[in-house]
Amino acid sequence: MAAITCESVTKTFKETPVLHDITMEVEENTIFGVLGPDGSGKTTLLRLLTGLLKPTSGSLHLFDTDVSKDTVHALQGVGCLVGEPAFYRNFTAEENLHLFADLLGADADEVVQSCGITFQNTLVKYLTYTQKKQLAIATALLGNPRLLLLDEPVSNLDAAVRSQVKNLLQSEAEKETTIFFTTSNLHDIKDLAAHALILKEGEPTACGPVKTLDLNTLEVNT
Amino acid sequence: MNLLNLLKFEIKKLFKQKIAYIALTLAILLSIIHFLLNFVNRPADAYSGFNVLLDNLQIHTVVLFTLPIIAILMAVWSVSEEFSTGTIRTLMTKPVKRENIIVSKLLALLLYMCFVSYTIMGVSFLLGLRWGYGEGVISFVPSLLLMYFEYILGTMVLVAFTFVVASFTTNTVVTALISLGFHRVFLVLEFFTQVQKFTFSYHVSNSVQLLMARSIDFRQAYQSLAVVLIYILAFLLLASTLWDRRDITT
Repeated sequence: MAAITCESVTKTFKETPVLHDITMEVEENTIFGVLGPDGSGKTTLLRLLTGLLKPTSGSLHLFDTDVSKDTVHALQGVGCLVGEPAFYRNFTAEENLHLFADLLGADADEVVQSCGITFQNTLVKYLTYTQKKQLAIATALLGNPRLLLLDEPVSNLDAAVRSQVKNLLQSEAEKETTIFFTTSNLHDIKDLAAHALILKEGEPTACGPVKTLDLNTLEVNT
Repeated sequence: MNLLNLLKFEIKKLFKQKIAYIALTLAILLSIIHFLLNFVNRPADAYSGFNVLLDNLQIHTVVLFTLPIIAILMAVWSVSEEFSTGTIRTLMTKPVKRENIIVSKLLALLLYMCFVSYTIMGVSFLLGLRWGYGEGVISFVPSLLLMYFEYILGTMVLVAFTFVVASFTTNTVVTALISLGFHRVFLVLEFFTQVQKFTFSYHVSNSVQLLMARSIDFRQAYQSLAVVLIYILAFLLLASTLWDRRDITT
């Protein structure tokens, strides 16, 4: 069964096309990367997959469930990080995690350990960007999801944390979690992804196994 | 993911905010000031009994004017803050029904408003017992609890309306001003006999007056309660429909 299916997905904002005719399929237990420069529609695609946006035309399915028609069912067992990490500022990192863990009936302590979170007692408003992103990834991992939808999970992170997050994603993939992530960095695709979709100005320019794609000809933020 | 989990989630968030305690403190202070003014200006012969009790319990001033403002501001914070900080995105990417988010926010605010209102009532009551009320006051307590609850339900109409406004705009100030304006418009409409029966605020006042009269016409009381509940449900339905169709772009 495909973890993600997009069929002719188009999204326009006030008649401005942001994504045009995206068709792709992501198999289970794989790491799939979407590569493209800023403004290429990567985050919009992720927002569509998580039901935050409705497609102008076309359909998106997560494990055979139409996201637009039944978002709640489609997001069962799916961990998400979309856009900039956002948390409740007056709560500590751990309180935020527990807040969402209680909501999902998941164990927060487990992800605190696996994500190497050492700032659990710090209020979110005092966290650095890297720490917020780590916390967002930890939140996405709550409840052992079978699919992770991650928007630029390793972008703008400190070098050490960047490598730690990459290792974490690889170990999640080994546990048969499907990972779908976006990036504007070619190295992330080379390091992590088995399959990739290349987006440029909202249009897919290439899609397939990373080994078969001519990534060196791409002009993105390498 | 059930509504109860979401309700717990909303309550934890609500009671973690400074604004929740600032509003409570403000309401208590106003209630004490109002009591002191009533006590200082008390009529020589008439300072006992049910009417005085009502005056001192601020049914007409603190409750009538302060609670709606607190309810609207808390509702604005509850929704607009989530949109402006992006936390709504974090929440909505969990398997949660959007209508359940709205309902849980309304229920959390209902509990909060009960907490604020009955705290005001408790403070006033203690002050009154010490410095003012005559004998037999305790027998009015059930009626008072119901009166306050009628006002709390009235504020829930404003909360639900604020959710509708928040589905159009993420601007906190605009949302608050529109909701406060809506409340004022209904207070004005109450004066026109042709339309007053269609306003929720008239039915809130009507229910309270029935309880004050202590000879309750249950048919009228139920009618008024039904009108207030219809308002709440209608606005909730509208808000959840609008939220469901809305693109979350924050």
